[in-house]
Amino acid sequence: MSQVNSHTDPRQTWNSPEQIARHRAMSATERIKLCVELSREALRFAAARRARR
Amino acid sequence: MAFDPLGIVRTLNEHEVRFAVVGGFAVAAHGVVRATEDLDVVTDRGLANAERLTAALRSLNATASQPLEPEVLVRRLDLRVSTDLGQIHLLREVPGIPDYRRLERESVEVDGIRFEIPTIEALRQMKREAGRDKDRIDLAELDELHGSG
Repeated sequence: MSQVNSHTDPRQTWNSPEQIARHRAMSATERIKLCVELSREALRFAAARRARR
Repeated sequence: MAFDPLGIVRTLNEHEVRFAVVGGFAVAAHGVVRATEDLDVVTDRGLANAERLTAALRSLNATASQPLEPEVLVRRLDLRVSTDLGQIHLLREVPGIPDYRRLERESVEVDGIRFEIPTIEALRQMKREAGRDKDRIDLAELDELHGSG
């Protein structure tokens, strides 16, 4: 079974108390910028899925 | 098309639109970062503000299911608008969204762009009133972070 390293990407949050704690330590400005980045990636992913159908 | 919410906020500010950013970006500012598909904003209901909003939306080549005219934007709103910089969700007088003038707000600056967002207490009240699944999840995370107040 392959090992999945889920804690190398600083933007990853799910099931990771360390990453959640990191977000909480950020300023509001930093979190908004991160939200922009995450949202862009999510929209790109959604667009790619639509293109494959 | 790249989603550029900072560019949208900058454009609305440049046109002196009276508005606050709510939804995912406000939740992120208060500590809970998640992806969002659009920029949720609540706007002042006055006609002069609707005129400024119309001008701002036109500068972004906006389209929507209704004509983007001040007379339309001044009425009760729950309108999704497509622009060159991404989707904007205009909200006013719908469940969970208080009147802009009564909304307790604070400012956050991002790359020189001023965001007006609800205070944490106002945001939590909005989430309680909206009551959708994602609002309950956001509220639980905000409660965990800030205490259940």
